[in-house]
Amino acid sequence: MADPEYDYLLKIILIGDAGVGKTFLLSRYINEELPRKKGPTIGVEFATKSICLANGGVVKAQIWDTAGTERFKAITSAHYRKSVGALVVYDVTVRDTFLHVKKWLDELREHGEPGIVVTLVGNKVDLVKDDPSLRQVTTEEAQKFATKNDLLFEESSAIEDINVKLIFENLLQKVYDVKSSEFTDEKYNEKKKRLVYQDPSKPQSKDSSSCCN
Amino acid sequence: MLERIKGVFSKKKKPVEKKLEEDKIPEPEDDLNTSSTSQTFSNSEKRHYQKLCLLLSEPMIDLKKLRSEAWYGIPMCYPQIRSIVWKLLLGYYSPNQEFQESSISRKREEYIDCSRSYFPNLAYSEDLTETNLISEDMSIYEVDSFKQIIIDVKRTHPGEAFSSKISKSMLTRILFVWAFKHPASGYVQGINDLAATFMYIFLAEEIDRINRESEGRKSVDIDLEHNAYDLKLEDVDLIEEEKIQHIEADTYWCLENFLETLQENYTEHQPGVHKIIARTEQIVMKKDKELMEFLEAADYVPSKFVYRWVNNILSREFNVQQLIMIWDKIIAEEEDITTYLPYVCAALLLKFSDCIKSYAERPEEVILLIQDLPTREWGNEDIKVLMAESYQLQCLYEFNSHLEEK
Ligand SMILES: Nc1nc2c(ncn2[C@@H]2O[C@H](COP(=O)(O)OP(=O)(O)OP(=O)(O)O)[C@@H](O)[C@H]2O)c(=O)[nH]1
Ligand SMILES: [Mg+2]
Repeated sequence: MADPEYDYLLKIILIGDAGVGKTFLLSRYINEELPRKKGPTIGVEFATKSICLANGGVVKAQIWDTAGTERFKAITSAHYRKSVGALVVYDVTVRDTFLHVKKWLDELREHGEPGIVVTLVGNKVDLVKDDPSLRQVTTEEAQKFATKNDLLFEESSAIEDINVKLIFENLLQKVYDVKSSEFTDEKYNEKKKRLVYQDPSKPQSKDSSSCCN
Repeated sequence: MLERIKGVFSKKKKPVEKKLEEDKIPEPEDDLNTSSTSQTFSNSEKRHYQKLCLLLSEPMIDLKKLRSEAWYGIPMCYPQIRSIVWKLLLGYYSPNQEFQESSISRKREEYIDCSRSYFPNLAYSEDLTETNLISEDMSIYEVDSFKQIIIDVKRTHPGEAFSSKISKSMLTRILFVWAFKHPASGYVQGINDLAATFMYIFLAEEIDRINRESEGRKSVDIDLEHNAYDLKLEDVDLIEEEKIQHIEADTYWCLENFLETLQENYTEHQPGVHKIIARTEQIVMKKDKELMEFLEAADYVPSKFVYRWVNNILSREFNVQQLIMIWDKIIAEEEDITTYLPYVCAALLLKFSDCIKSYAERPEEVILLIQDLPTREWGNEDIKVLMAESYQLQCLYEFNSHLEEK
């Protein structure tokens, strides 16, 4: 297995209310299965993956899954720094979790990097497929909100593996596209250093979980 | 300490019949030899078990002796032994057997009354949803804890038995009542795991009793390889409602007493957790400075991960069976848990020191290792070694700590 060099190391965070399914989505994406140990995330958890993007380019994603609870905010918000992308997740069957998205965006604005790319994710669509009356947030409403706030948007299910790969990789693609276009403008190398978070100890390390070979 | 090392215990010829029928401990001679699992218990384990039984049969139980005997661990074969020992050492059961029964009934009633006042008409069979739990006269604070607890109970799962409606209902109520009684902290995620651990022991005890009484099955199934009680989903349905109430009340009181010295862990900003983390770092620094420097270089200092260890009293880092063995020591320890826990955390981290250091220049690997420690592969011996190493650290640093602090 050849270890590919990646173009960028991208730091992504997962935020949203407790219980919306952030940890499930991440586990589904990284391990292609549901988490072995279930339970609320205490603090933050980390995962990494190298991805060959559909439109070209290789990125290594460092994904930080945070606890949704207010109580652990002090630990989690420290991780917003240097993130270039965020997935803000809500539960399509719990309206409050959607109403809180605004609050999460404010958090990002306060602690995150300017220009961070954000995807809004309505999780647990499998539930409304079986019983449409459970839906508390319509796709149209969420889409409208996303457009207004300049967010990408998708509905997903970690349990039935609907759109999981898509939400992560569309976000990464967009971050990649934004970064590369910025770089081609002027002084490519200098900007690259400034805009993309690089692993300080080893900026261009090789990765063992290769995706393209 | 000395007693613990020498292991001096008084002996009595014949155990006095215990008062509480439900707490009756099987005579070691009867069962240990006939049980299908007997061959797996060594002679020393049998002796250890018998010593505990003797201590428990005294009219006035000597808690000091019980503490030092229990510190060596409690045999798995009889869940009721651990149940009683924990209840005694946590100060829930009175050591004076004459008053024990009445004081337990009083405590249980107190809990049940309290729980009933919050949930006047909640049956065990009912689904716990926001609609049948949240009433209009609740404050926002109460409603928020309710919602959080409902979400977390669904994902609290130390064993199959916790999927049952009954156990979910029990756990939900316990956590609600605890949150209401402790407004300074309220419900904090992690407490669900702590309550579930107590409930697991008490459910195992009761299921074991039912199985012993009914013919055919000798005792609760013990998964020998993992040495865990294999509590089946349907087993919980066999328990009478009155017993369920007792288990619920007992779990509540054990949780309450267990957390008494840990209040600061769960209040705003969790100062207690930070103190324990700081102490853990101090100990690791003294023992293995290189490791600390290594972690700093990887930008993954202990405060980033020991946080969960402390917040959940290690329940996320081990399976329930391993956890019980660790808690045996924590509960039997003379020092309170805030003093003792840093040594356990430090010992756990130090165990992986070489492995961590082998990831030089690979900080991601360090994080991935630590956030999901490979403790699944650990057997009972590994846990014993971990606890012995914690004790070693404690001897090294605590008993002459006044000398070090300049
Ligand atoms: N039906 C359905 N349930 C889901 C889905 N994803 C997660 N869940 C359920 O929601 C619960 C919470 O999921 P988690 O991934 O733990 O939630 P979280 O957002 O990480 O929560 P915190 O760590 O507390 O912030 C799980 O126990 C699952 O049962 C999904 O796609 N469909
Ligand atoms: Mg989570």
